[in-house]
Amino acid sequence: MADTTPLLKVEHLSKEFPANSGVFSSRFSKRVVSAVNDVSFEIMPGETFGLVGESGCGKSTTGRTIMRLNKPTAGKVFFQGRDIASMSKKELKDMRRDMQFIFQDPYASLNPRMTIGEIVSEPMTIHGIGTKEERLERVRELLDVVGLNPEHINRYPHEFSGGQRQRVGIARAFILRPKLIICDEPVSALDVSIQAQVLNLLKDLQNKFGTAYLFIAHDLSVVQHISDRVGVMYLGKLVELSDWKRLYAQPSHPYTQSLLSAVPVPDPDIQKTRKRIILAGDPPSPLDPPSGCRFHTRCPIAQEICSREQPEFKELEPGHFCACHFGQPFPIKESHIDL
Amino acid sequence: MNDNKTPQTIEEENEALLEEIHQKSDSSSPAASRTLWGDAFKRLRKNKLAVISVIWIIFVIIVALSADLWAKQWLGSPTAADSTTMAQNSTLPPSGEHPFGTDALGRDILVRVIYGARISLSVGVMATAISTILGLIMGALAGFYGGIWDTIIMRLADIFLAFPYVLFVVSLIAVLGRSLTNVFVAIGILGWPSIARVFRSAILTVKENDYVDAARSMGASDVRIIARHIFPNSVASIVVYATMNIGGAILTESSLSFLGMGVVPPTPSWGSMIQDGQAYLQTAPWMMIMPGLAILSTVLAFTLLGDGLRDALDVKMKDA
Repeated sequence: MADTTPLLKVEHLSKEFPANSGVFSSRFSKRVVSAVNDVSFEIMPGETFGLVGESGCGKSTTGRTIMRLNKPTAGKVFFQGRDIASMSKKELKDMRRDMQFIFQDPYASLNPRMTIGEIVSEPMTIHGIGTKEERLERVRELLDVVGLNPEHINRYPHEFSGGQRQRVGIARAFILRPKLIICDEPVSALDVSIQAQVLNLLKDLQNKFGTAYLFIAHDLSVVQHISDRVGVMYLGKLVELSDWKRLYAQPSHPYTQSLLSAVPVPDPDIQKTRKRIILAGDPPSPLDPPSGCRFHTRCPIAQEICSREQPEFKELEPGHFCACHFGQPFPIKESHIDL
Repeated sequence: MNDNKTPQTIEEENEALLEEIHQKSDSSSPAASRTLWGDAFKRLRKNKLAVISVIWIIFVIIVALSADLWAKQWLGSPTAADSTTMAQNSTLPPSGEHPFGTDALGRDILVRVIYGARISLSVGVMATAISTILGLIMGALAGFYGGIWDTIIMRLADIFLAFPYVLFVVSLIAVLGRSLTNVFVAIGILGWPSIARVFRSAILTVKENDYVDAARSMGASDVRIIARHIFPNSVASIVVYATMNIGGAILTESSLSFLGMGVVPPTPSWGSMIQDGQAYLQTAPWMMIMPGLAILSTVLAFTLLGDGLRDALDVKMKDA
């Protein structure tokens, strides 16, 4: 990476939602769901940053808050060096040209009353780029790039399969040649065979256009396939961040270790003998997160200090961050992960 | 779905599935690109009651619009009583000359029903148009912006709905004066809360879809999101509701005319004709029955058409 200024810089980002359980609750008690808590990371131009974690850990909220679909409660998001929160309406609109979103559900993310041509060209229409013919020309070109038949420009989404629809969503995200695309679990709704196709397509497009990805997923094998660096989230907090080779080889946070030990290994002998870290119980409610380290209630190596003090998100070695009082590189046998 | 399926229903389901697969393979041929409205129209055509209703409504509209060309010449004036022949022509039973009979003033009832259709249809359509426009604006504000807008508008709607409907219209007309315009303005103003509620709930459902977030993330304006994404996906429920509302407005107009608060006589209206016939219920029942049948069939047609549209436009049914 020759360019050293980050494309996206997230600093201490937090997002809280008011928890309304009854008519009067919001007025009398200030209960909040802390969906994202003090998350910081950077994405370089052309890089893929994977964000993993279990359901409800706030990874999607992080993506949506960066996109300004939600307003952040605290913290700053810098895109190309400029703070998104302080942008005027006009600046925000210009920023959206360079930052696009790919959604998880290929059925809900395409308007059923619009043709594929209208859907894919919508970003151009909104930003007033090109004449109608130029837009359609570009749509045809892009449909071809993502592996769809350009003749299908006048069809409606319900005439396509899930994988094809996701390709439409990808074409829409790429039509303005953005610098960053936030992919919110883009393949988790698809069949496994289609997942690989779509992931390869995303990789090809990245090579072609030099786009950076914020790749959100709960599936480590998917993230491994595509990411340069990976951040692991637990209950709204980033617990570990590293380039993926180091993360997979030497996870330092006990949560990352347990996640990695759950990834199936294609060799049955290793699968039988390897050590698995099974976490007890469910993740605690983000309404009422545990004190100290948020992971201490389920952590296999937790000690007394963990429930008292929040661990610092510190750099263990250059580029490898971990938030654990006892965190240290923990070598999993190389053969466990297909590097 | 029912848990205890009889073999017959399973067979029916299989057939439906086969048909769906068949249709899908049809659609994948390059020529067949179908829109959702086209699909809805196809489904509507299969609904016999809805088709009959459409035919009846179109028939009533054509007859009402073209009445000046033929009805007067054939049946006489709908408004003026024929003073010279009034005595022998009054309250004649239905016959070849007067298919629906004549009323107490010797006027032909068929021609009055035909001209009454003009009043009823225009009140139905205009009142519904007013309620729909008001309801769409209010519903969009409440559903899209939520918060304080939602609270104010929906409480206002509750207040409107809690008003005794006919009483309110009667007092409004008492203030504004009796005229056709005032009748449909009064009915229209009172009709918006139900449309606003339907549209609001439709918006709340549609708003949750990712394609609305997608549009927002692209930088689309609120107006564009409402017009291009939310409205086209929630208009189905409004079309259905408005269709049924036309029937309701016709009924309200008839009630008003029956109470003597509708259009000014001698202009014929179905409601006032029933009122005229009240006194002759035993001697000349056709004076009430004929306009009554006209109200019944027309209101029923709008309701059945609304039902059919609801089934035909239900997108969820197709995806399931």
